[in-house]
Amino acid sequence: MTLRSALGRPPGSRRTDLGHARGFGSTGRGTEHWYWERLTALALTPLTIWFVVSLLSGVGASLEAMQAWLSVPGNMVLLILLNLFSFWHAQIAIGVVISDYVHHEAAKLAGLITVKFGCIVLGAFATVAIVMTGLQG
Amino acid sequence: MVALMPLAKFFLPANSKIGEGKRYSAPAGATNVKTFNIYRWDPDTDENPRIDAFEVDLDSCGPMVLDALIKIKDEVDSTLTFRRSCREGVCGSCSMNVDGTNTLSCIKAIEEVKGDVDIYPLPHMSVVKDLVVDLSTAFAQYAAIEPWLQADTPAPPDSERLQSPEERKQLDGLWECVLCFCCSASCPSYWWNGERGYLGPATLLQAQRWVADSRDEATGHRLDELEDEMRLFRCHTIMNCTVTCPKNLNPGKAIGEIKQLMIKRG
Repeated sequence: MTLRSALGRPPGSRRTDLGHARGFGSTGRGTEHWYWERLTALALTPLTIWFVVSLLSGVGASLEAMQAWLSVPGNMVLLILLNLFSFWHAQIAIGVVISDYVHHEAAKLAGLITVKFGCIVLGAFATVAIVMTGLQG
Repeated sequence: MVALMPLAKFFLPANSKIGEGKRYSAPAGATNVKTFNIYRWDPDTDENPRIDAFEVDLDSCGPMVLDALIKIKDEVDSTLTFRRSCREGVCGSCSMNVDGTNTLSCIKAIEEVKGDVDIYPLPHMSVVKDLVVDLSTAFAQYAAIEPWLQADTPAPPDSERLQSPEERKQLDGLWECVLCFCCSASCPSYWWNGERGYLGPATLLQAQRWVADSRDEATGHRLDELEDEMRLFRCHTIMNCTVTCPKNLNPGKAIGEIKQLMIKRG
């Protein structure tokens, strides 16, 4: 009796184990993806600390005071960067989770596309909101 | 319906649920008794897996978990099925889950285990019988990385292919791997994606063993073959591999070195 895990292979497949292991071969991709996931995480570390400290120091402040804070060019740039890096990182990282756990091909593809577009839309929306709020300050 | 398909299975299939098995009492008069709870499954019956409890008199048993398994097979139940060969940690055959950790039973001392000794097959592998699992995919993946020296330059006519002491040192921590697959079977990423292309820590450590070999001339080809989101980058540095390795090797570090080479070559 030849035992073969049913996972990843059509039921009743007689393909050899080596053929299955080699599959379509190497895609030659993955390094950039992995590198940017870490690079965005690196960028987010100081930006997140700055943002939390800024928020805490603004506890109890009026809306006008926060808008004035946001209208300072340095603050607005850092907040836009935090926003862009967050969605960039989220898009990569959620994609990794989907690739790990969602094994139904169509569902996986739909999930990856939704996350990519979702992050772009939300990132653009948040950027516009930051700029508009800041310009009112 | 695609939308309603579960993305994960939360319960074992009905025929995988583990039941209670038989209990084999220690011989009368035994004073130093330890219980071994062992996973049993026979493909030739329709029965579900079960846990049999064997009470073993440690005063007439060798010190290692494998000694107890052999004693049980000899004296109590000859149908108990497990792989073993060298009984000294160099062949990699007797890998199994002892006391919740993947290890080689021949170098796992019984006295290290507090209370009963629970013994299961390597996790997330198809069980062939009892403690024997199907390693076909794992070994095919190992074969796929071409684990032999590749060089176009012929060996010198009057000597072996030489290395400097420093070059030889690069292989330390890699050549000692005995391919027991304890690490791969401990890796959640290999559980989810081993059959879908992730090579797993054992095979990746072996790949690095050839990448790091100064005598090998196929380094670029090897890295080309490894550069893949599934094959290499499903490693999320969970590090179960390094924790569980019975030879105290560091597959996590070996994989990290491959990733660094990917960055280095740009």
